[in-house]
Amino acid sequence: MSASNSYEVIEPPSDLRSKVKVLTGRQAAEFDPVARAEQALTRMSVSFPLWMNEEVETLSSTHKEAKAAGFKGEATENFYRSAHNLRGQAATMGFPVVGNTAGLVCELIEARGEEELPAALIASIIQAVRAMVREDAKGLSNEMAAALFSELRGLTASEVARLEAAQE
Amino acid sequence: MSHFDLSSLRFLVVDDNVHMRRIVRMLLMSYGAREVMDAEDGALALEIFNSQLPDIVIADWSMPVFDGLELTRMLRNTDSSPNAYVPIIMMTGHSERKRVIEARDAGVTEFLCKPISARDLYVRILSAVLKPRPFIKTKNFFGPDRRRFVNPNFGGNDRRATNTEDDPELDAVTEEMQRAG
Repeated sequence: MSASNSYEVIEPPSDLRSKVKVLTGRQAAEFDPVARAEQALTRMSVSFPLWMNEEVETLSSTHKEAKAAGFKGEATENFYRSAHNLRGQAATMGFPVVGNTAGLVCELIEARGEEELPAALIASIIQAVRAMVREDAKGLSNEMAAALFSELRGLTASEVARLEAAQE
Repeated sequence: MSHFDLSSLRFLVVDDNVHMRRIVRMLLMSYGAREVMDAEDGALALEIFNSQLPDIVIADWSMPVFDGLELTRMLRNTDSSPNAYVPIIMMTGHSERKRVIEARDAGVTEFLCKPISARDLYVRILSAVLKPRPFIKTKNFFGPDRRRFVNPNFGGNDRRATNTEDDPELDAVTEEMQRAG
């Protein structure tokens, strides 16, 4: 441990390097952890459309609850969290455009301050997310998904600018 | 990239989303991990951490009750935590600079932006294990040395490259470990 007047530098007492081994020779040639994980992810991907449907159902139900609560309080926090979850994990599940679209909800809620949220735009985003998953639209190569995302992104950018300006 | 036997490491995965927990668990098991615990919120994570003492914590930022950041602060509390030095990898959909700084200041070891990939998670684990940083204790901070924290959005030449194939520091550690057997 070394110290100055204002801080201490401490070496961690345990060292995890003692718990891992470098694989060499045949072991290293036969075991590629990243390749194995990618293969496992591919095998798991047969479940992803079903999981995405479950996530979209959660988004829809939290949206209904948040709307009923006037987009205030805990219900809106839950709605934000379900949109944020989808934004974070949709690409891992092979649906990047769905994640990007759900992320628009997060942008609006993050920008709102004390302002009213644009309920109609939010409803359109939720409908778009549902449609993309229903149509198995995974990326921007899907024309319907690309058009919806482009339109909603533009509208969201305008609303975010309005919300931010209203707070200045 | 060198391959490592991670079977002796014990992991705790904390995420309120069951699908993400399944994905991360599957990735860890594919890397060779044998013991992966999981928790759906910060409170349960704290309970498991205190009783099972995992080697590495992988936590989501956004969770109900208390979030990944609050969990990090509790794990770094030297008065109450059984291992305040545990490596913490924070997974998040937030990649803004202010969020990265907030995570760093809470004592997070590595920051992993979603969507996560098999390679990105593996590289973060190796970085946390093979390149341990000294801890800094000040009046307001306890955690890994913040000067080596990497902004995931940084566009320039990165000393701690996200791809370990290009990371001379990690290569040097690997060679040293190979020599030591």
